[in-house]
Amino acid sequence: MHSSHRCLSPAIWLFAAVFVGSGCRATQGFHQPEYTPTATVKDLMEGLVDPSADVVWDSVKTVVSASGVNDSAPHTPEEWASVRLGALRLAEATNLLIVPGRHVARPHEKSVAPGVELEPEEIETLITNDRETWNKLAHGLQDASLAAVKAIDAKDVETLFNVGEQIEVACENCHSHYWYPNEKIPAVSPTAPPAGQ
Amino acid sequence: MNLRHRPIALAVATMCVMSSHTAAAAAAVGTVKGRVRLNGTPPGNPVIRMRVDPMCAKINKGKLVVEEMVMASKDGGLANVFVTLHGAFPRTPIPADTVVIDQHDCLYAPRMVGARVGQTLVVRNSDPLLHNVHSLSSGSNSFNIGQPLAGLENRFQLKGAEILRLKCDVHRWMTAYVGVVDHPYFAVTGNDGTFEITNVPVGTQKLHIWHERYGDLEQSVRVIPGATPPVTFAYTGAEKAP
Repeated sequence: MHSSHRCLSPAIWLFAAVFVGSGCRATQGFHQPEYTPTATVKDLMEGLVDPSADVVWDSVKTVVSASGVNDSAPHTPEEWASVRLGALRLAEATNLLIVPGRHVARPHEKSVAPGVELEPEEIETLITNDRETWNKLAHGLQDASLAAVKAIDAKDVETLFNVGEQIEVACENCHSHYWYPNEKIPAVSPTAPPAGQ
Repeated sequence: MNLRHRPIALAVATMCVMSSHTAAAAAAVGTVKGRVRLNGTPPGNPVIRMRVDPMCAKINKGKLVVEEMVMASKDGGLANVFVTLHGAFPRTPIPADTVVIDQHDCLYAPRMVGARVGQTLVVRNSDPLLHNVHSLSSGSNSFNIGQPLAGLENRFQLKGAEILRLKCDVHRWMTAYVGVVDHPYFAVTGNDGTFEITNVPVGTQKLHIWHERYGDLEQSVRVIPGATPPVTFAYTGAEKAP
């Protein structure tokens, strides 16, 4: 091994030095990852979190039809694989949510219900000022998603059904904290004038 | 004609003209009746997981509550279809009465209603728990407001024509639709799939229907004074959801 090194030409040594040098930089970069988040939190919710949660949520259900009450759950390997990918997408989406530097929405996007929903910049301030809570709530959704993966791997329909509800609760915990924290405050009385007028 | 009789003759003539106009106006409208059918076997409706909210579970204890997405009678009549004319019509007064949707037993009721642009939509919470009213508007009817107590009502003046979906963010299954149009010619099918629209201007009209699962269908209808021959729409069941 040692003798073969001596056979290397200077050009190869130079190439090796450059390669090792670039490798060192890559290693340094690994310790200090630079993310380039492009999608907004809203994009992730609409494009990844919500559709993936629906896959898990809808995988086990009871349907009432003219033929009676029927339970519906994944049966074929393809159906199990599909719901597993949904749960994995949801779990990984929570990692994307906590990537630093991600904006909540695009600059022109505004709340559809000011006063009840926070404006995107207000949500972003809440997140920025308390990353710990944001990360904790995202991890709550991740825990529920991974519980779904576990239930799917065990082909445990009952647990998968229950986990769907855990996912729902995890979503709502976050929404009620960041998206519409004011809705618990009565905005109107029974005799109040029409809203939005 | 004697000039002394002229005013009287003029008055009589005017009355005759007015009378014929009134008769013409009365004759210029018809009633459109019809039925919407769903061919094939209805797909069934998912049972709602009330357990997500223990209060909803308690209210509905012992009941198998479903999301009423496709409500078809045994002979195929499809309920909750919004039926409306498409076209431009003379302005008519906005009804003073309100359109009411109730949040009751953790559901919206009714699930499908029609309303006029400018009319007031009232959403009432009859449950002793938190609901909200979140409209998913593609136009100018956006609102999202909490209704944390039983008896609370929120009133929304509808500002633009669209099929407006209402949801409750607390209970993801809660859904209602408001067909908002800028004229009075609309209806929602009943449990047997039938509908009736009165005082429709005579002539060829475009009759349009919308269902949350089966989407849009349209056909031309020749409206005649009085009762127009019944109109039938049929979804195949293979339509893509809107």
